[in-house]
Amino acid sequence: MERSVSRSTSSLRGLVAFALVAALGAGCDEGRCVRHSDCVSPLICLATNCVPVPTDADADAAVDATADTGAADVARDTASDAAGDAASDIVVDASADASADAAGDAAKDVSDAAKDVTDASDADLDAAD
Amino acid sequence: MAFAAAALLSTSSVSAQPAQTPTLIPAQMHSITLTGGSGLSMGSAGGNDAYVTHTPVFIDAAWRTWHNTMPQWVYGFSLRAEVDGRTSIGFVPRFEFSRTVGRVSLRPGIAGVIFFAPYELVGPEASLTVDVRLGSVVSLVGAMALDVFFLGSDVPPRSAIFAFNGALGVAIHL
Repeated sequence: MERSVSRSTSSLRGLVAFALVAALGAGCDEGRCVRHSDCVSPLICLATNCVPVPTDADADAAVDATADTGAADVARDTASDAAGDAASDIVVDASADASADAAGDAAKDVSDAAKDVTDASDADLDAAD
Repeated sequence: MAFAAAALLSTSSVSAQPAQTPTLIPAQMHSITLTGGSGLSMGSAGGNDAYVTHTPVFIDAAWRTWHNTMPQWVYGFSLRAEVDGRTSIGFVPRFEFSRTVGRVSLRPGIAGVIFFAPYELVGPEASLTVDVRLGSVVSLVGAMALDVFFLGSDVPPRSAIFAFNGALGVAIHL
C-alpha cells in the first residue's frame, strides 16, 4: 500500500516536471512567434509565423514566375498581332502629323519589335513541331 | 457617602486619562520590490491560428506606497526589463488592494504594461501578489499576472498576445 502511494507520488512529480519542461521548451521552434521580437531580424511575425518583410522585389519575383510558365507563349503570340496593328496605326498617325521622319523611326522600332516577337513565336512553333 | 465620592473620583480620573493603546501616527509607507519572472505567452491571429511559447524572462523593480491610515490601497509603478533573447524596458503603473492576515498580505491589482524601447508593447495586466513578511523590513514576494497586449509595434497585425506569468523576489519595506 505504502509502495503504491509512493509510486503515485513519483508519477505525479514526473508529470509535473514533464509539463514544466514542455512549457519552457515551447519556445524552441524558431519559425513560430507571438511577437515581432521573437523573430530573427529582418523577419517579422505574421499569423504566428516568422516571414520576410514583403517588398517590391516580391512583386517582380511574381512576374518572373509567371513568365516562366507556358502562358507566356500564348501571350507572346497575342502580342505579336497587337504590335503589328500598333505599327500600322503609328504610320497612319505619323503621316497625318507630317512628322514623317519621327514617325518612320517610331514605326520602324515598333515593326522591329513586332518582328522579334513574331520570330520568337515561330521558334516556339518550330520547337512544338 | 465618603466611600462613594472617592469611588466616583477614582472613576472620573481613570476615564480622563487616555487609553494605553498605541496611537497611529499618520505616515506614508513605501516598499521596494525586486522580482524576476517568466511564464507562457500565446499569440492569436484569429481562428485556430494560435501559438504558445515561453514569455521572455523579465526583471521587475517596483516601488509601492500606501498611507498607514488606509493600508488597503496600494499604488506605485515598476520598471520592467526583458532580458531573455532580447533587451527591452517598460514602465508599469499599478493599483492594488491589500489584505493582510498575520504575516501574509494578498494584493490583487491592476496595472498597465508599457514597453517603450526598443519597441512598443502596451496592454493591461491583472495580478495577484503574495507578500510574506520575514521581519520588520524584508519580505518574500510571489506574484501571478495575466497580461493582454494589443497595441504597439511589437504586436503582429490583426493579432493579440496573452501572457500568464509568475514572478518571485524580495521586498524591502522602508
